[in-house]
Amino acid sequence: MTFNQLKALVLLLAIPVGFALAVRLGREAEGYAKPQRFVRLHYGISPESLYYLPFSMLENVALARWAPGKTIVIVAGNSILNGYGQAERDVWTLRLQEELGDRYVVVNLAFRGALPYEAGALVAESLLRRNYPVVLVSNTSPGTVGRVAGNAYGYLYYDALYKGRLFNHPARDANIAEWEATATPAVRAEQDELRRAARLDANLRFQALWHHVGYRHLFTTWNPHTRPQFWQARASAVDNLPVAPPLAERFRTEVASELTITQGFSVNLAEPDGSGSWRVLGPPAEIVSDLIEDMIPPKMRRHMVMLLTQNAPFYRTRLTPTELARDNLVFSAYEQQWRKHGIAAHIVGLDFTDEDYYDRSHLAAAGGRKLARLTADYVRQISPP
Amino acid sequence: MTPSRLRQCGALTARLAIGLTIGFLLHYLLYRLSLPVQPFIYVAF
Repeated sequence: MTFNQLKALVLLLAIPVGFALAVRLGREAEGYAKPQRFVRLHYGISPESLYYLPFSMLENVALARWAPGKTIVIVAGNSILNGYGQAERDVWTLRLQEELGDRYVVVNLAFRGALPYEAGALVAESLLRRNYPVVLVSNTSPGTVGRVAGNAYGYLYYDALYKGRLFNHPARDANIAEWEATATPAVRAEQDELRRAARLDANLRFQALWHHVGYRHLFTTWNPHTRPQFWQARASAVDNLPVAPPLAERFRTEVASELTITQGFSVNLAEPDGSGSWRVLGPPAEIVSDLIEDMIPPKMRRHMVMLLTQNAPFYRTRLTPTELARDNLVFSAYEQQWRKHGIAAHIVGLDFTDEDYYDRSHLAAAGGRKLARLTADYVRQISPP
Repeated sequence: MTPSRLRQCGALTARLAIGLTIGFLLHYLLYRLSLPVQPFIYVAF
């Protein structure tokens, strides 16, 4: 062998060795990588800034706080439970932790725009599957369940699925397959791509390693949220989610469209019953019932608290008496709907004031404190101290 | 070690380092290709 051939051989052999080394580091990172001093998922550590946290990072956040004898309270759901409208120091889950005390560890894994059983909710499922004591707190509006796949955080479902983190729930697989069969070719292609990436990652662990690098050392992709210093490690990103201004400055813009949205919470879910009152429409309620049954494994249900979060009084008091009656009926009916499936459901916000709200749906710090007190009771009902 | 041997060792070490780096870059490429072109845009409503 000539020296030149030897050099080429060393180079060629070093490539798979380097790749294997990266896989090994990825496997290790999967065991420990997580955001430090974690309070909630702010822009710097969320998909809005191209930081698509792997499932393992979310699990690690929860497990790092757990100790034997404690119950993990995973808060999933959408921006309302994420604390959008509250400063980092006022995030409602900090108050929930204070209310519940040391016997519980509260972890806020709510993503803005997430469905009630998506993203953070799957972390609770994974932990329960591994026999950790878990309570899942999530939120939704009447008529909304959705699927674990196919939305902004669907990548977390495939990530968890191909790493064997979830309960075997054939109804969920069948529902997703059926949905995909009727989806557009573009949606099917997108789902195929997500699945391929997740399968590959289950073997090669590139998400864990490079998200860890992006968090601790250097982020390599430009995006509008982190300009102009997009390369900075995400560990240095600050939580700059919006904070509620003084009350006099709230509810001042887009009142008409926000009122339409408030009406929309019940407009397609009930119909006049002919005697001046309302009855709940059957088909949407059946869809919700089927989706709860298909998406949420039975073993999870008695570990769940589902909050049906009401709109601010500023808008609810502007509904006509008829619309308000419909709104109340629909919220109560869908609360019962979740309960029929063995899930503790509660309407929250009916007795809140405008001061408790940042905007139509999100809570200010005062509302966060009220929500924490209520939720602490609901959690204790499921998992007594 | 003679200067020519040193040069040979240096050349081999350089190939090793380049190879390892390429391996890491290929791994990074998988991560990079999995990122969407546009970040998720959240609209509060």
